[in-house]
Amino acid sequence: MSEPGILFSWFVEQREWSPVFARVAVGGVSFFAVVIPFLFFFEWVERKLGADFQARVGPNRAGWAGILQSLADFLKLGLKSSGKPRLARNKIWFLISLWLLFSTLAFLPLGSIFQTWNPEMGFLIPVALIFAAGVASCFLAIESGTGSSWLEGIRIASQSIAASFLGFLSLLIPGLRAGGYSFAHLEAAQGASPIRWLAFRDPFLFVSFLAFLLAGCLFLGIRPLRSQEARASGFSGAKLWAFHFSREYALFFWCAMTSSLFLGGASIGSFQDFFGSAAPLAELASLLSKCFFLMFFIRWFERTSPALRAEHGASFAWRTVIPFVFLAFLGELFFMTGGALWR
Amino acid sequence: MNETDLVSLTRGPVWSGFSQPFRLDMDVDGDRIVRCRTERGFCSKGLESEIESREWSSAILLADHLDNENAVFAELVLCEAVESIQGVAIPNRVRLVRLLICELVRISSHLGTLAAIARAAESEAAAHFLLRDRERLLDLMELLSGSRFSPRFFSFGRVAWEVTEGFLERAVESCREIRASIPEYNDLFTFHLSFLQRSTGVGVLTMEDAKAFGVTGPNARASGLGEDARKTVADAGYSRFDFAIPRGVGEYGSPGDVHDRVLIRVREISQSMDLVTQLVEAIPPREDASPDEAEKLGSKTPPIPPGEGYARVESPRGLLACYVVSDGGPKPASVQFRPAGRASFGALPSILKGASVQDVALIVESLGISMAEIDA
Repeated sequence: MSEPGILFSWFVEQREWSPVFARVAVGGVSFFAVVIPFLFFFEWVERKLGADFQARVGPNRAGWAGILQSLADFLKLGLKSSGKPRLARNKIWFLISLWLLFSTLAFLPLGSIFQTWNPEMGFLIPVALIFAAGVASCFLAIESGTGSSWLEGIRIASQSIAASFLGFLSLLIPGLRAGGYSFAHLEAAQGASPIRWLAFRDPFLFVSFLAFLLAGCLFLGIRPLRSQEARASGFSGAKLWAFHFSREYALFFWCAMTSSLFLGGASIGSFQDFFGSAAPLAELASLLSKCFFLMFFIRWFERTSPALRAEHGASFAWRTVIPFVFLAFLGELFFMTGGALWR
Repeated sequence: MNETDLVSLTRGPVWSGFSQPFRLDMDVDGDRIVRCRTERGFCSKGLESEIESREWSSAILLADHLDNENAVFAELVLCEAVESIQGVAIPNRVRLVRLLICELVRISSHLGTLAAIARAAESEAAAHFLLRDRERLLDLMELLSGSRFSPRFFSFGRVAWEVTEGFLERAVESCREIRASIPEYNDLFTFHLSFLQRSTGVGVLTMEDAKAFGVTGPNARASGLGEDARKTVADAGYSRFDFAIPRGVGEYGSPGDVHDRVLIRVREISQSMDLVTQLVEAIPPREDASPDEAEKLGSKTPPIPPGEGYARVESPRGLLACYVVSDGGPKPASVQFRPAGRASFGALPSILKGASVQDVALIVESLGISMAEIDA
């Protein structure tokens, strides 16, 4: 996985494209071939799950058991205009937040087919991009021009700051264990078996795994870490669909990152030989199944929990989780050095 | 703390957070409400005038529209006010059947209010579970009268018709099923850590404010007042039944906060289910009814003599009263209701002062007010 991916190599070597274009092309292919089908499928599962909780049937009209409902919604909402006109700067912030968010496609750790590059700070860059997208969405809310949206922007900012600090702090621990933040380092530090996953290697890493997941939920405002007003996004039509889809993508991306950092990522270990030439597809399936599990768990928790106020989530992060993660970081440091730093 | 520039925010008359149409203008300092004003009247339908312009036989039908969720209470209070003019004695079976229907509707109403609170707290699963259980009671109402919300079941001095076959058994069975769901509500909602964090110490209606604004019902009881017309009104018919009035003591936060109002309603559901069981046991079998009672059950509305009548009942939203004047003619000379929720609505600016903007919907829904009734 640390080597350039199959698709990237094909574009560069066979088609003789420049690496930049090749990365864009790989990102595009992974978006249309993997991300969109997976998210459409997951949205269907989520809606069926929510319907089951509420003693409803859920989507059942478009396709078998309503499996094409997300596509139908995309077509319906995508063809609608976006309602009331907005200020130019509002549109700009909306586009900036989408651009920052979807530029993380270049870093999606989807296995050896879609791997494009392996920078030294491979895991820090996309997390930084996600938080930059959060800042842009904060400005988007503030610039919307109403008192409510201004307050919502402040709430997003408070949650984003707490989430970014928590996210980066909890990232330090697996990096410390793996000896770096590149995909190669993380891949080398863990294997396919759950007992070799970083999350279950020691208690400090487990704490950082939970904290990283929590940071994502806090950043995305997933219930219960969500304010009452968060639903009042003020979007309609195509923009509403883009807003929902980008939130769903951000959750997927965060879960893919969590899987790669703590749950063995796309690694299939000794099954490489078993799968033979289909091994890259098995890697992809391995990562997507882990993402599915994490997303399912998060959405299940969300569906059954009342919402907290925005300050509750931020306060929980600052007062409870961040001190814990800091202690876990010190513990991991002590564990790694065998106490040498303290002697 | 220095006050920063205040921002004006408006919610309603139609807003996703409110299940009822009214307008709330707030001045907020940061996230905190400094002061607010309410505006109502968006549901005004001139109900009292409408009743006065129709014959007595239409009065009960129209009274159903005072508060659609609790239609039988408006029917009951109007009937009792008219019966006080008539000076008639209500047959025992009729009285008990009326109380039974009222208790079933009280459970249904509280379940609906709790579902609205759960929705305001964004607890989707709990809201749907509560509505699922309310469906059992609405099905019962349909079995009873063919209508789920406006049964038009009561009549002056009697009930409109006999309860349907198997209704009493099904009422007890439904209560048993709902009782089994209460631990589920508690886990998902009432005692869920997130909801406790969200609702304790929020939207406090103090006992002094409750008294000053004349708040009654579950909202007043959550604030520590023990008033309940089922106990205080001598001829309410509840004297022979064993039940206690729950009061809020601020078990998890302050007395009279959102959580207390939820807790009181959950306890009243449980209490009403006990009452349903007692009432079903107390209702005399149909064949045991005296010839006079059986005759009354099927008789037509007699003419209403001249006079004034006043009645009070404990509706799920609080004290519901009705004042009726008859001049002996075919139409009521005057009909006036004292809606239960108007006092709670009046106390809203006082409750919201100092609260977070994020809690507005939750606080409003926790009061369980009905704008249809208030604007009547």
